[in-house]
Amino acid sequence: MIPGEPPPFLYRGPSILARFVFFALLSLLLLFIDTRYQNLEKLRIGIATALYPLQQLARWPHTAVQEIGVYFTDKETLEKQNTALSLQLLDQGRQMQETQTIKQENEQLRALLELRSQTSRSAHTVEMLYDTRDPFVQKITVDKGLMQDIREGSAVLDANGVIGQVTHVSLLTAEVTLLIEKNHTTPVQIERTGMRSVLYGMGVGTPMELRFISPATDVRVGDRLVTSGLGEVYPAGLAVATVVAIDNNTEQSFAHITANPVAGVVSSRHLLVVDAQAPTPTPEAAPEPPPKEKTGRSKAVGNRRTP
Amino acid sequence: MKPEMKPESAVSRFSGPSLEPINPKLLLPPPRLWFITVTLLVALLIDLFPLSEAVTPWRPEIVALTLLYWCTWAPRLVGVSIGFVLGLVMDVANGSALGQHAFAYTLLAFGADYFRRRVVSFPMWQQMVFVALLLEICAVVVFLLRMMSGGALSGAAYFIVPLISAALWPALQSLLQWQQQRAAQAER
Repeated sequence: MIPGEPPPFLYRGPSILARFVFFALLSLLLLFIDTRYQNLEKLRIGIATALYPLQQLARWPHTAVQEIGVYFTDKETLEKQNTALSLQLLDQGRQMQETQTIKQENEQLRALLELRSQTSRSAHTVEMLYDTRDPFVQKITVDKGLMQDIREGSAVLDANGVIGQVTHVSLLTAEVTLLIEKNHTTPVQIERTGMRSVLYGMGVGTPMELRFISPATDVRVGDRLVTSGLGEVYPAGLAVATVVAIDNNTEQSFAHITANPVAGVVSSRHLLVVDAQAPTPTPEAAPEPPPKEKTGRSKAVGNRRTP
Repeated sequence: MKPEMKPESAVSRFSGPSLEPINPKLLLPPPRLWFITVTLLVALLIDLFPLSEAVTPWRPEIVALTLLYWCTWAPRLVGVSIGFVLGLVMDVANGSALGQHAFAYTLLAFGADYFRRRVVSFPMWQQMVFVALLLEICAVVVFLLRMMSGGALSGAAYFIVPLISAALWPALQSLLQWQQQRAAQAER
């Protein structure tokens, strides 16, 4: 007899098969609700909070190694880094001043034209903690959450451009779904021409696809794609990707355009989370999206996990 | 996987069932609840430990293996319900859809429990094949479920991970027997 096994007359409770069926059905139900409706956030936050100390403990050796590495960085490297950063700061200071002037001008012009003024959004700097392990999604976890006012649906950027969007928030961490996640959609426009469309993620290792562009449209290899600001997730004008290949196959109604992200989507450590725009525009002020956009946007909303 | 056949297990396979020597593991005192809890927590810690993204897709599933071990050797203490709870925790930790690991671990716990009487008398290489098969079945079922709910798989590593995990089975088994071995020695 196997140790720990009671004699048959002591068996209590439902049979193993009954328990299996119960829990299997329960997990299938959870899977269905979570992938279809995404309204199990409370349960997720609860478990994530309980898990947080363990996660911190598991990360501790990693953090320690990093800190020791910083401690032993030699002086020369630090000095070089310092010089480079000072130069960068100077350059950015100049750009900042220009931006300030332009911003003021813009505000005045908007006031003159009686347009809705653009609200500036609050932003948080976060640090990437780790890649999530799930092989079915491309996500990273960052070190701030509900307690630091990170909200679901916020855009996430690095120094070069957009890397993704916050999809789950727990108390002290948040998960960011990357742009390159399959079927993740980003409303973009071609910077040079202003042509708006939707950029689709195709999964790791595959370039993203710019869809709903007719073969006759003016697109060139090397064109920068920036956020269009439609869909109210991303602020307008952030760099997203550059066009790498265009295949104008005349048999299809749309051109096959592929693009690579400009930001270090899988490599950046320090990131910026920019709040999603909450207020809905008044009907008269809302720009009419072109009909092509609609299919893409309704999908984007589903993907964004915001009500 | 390298089949490693011990001489005594080979003998026990070919001799008749009535002459089969008792597996020495079956004589060990039952595992303690504290030890099971600690090992499951440590397994969770190992799985939560962040590694670079080049290695991440190839990591063996230590929690799944530990669960499988305890479902086989302590079926009264660890079963389908513990598997479900651990699965939910892994879902949150890995950022998966809720229920994905929960389903896999429930299935795993059930499979382990269903076959445990046969598995404990298997020689090591057969146990490893069994573990690989069970983990692979769970992986395929979860893959089909995720495909149905609109996911995309990022690499073939997903189907190789069960084999890597199964290769760790002998090492894990000797580690997890530590408490029982010690108790057995203390009794003598």
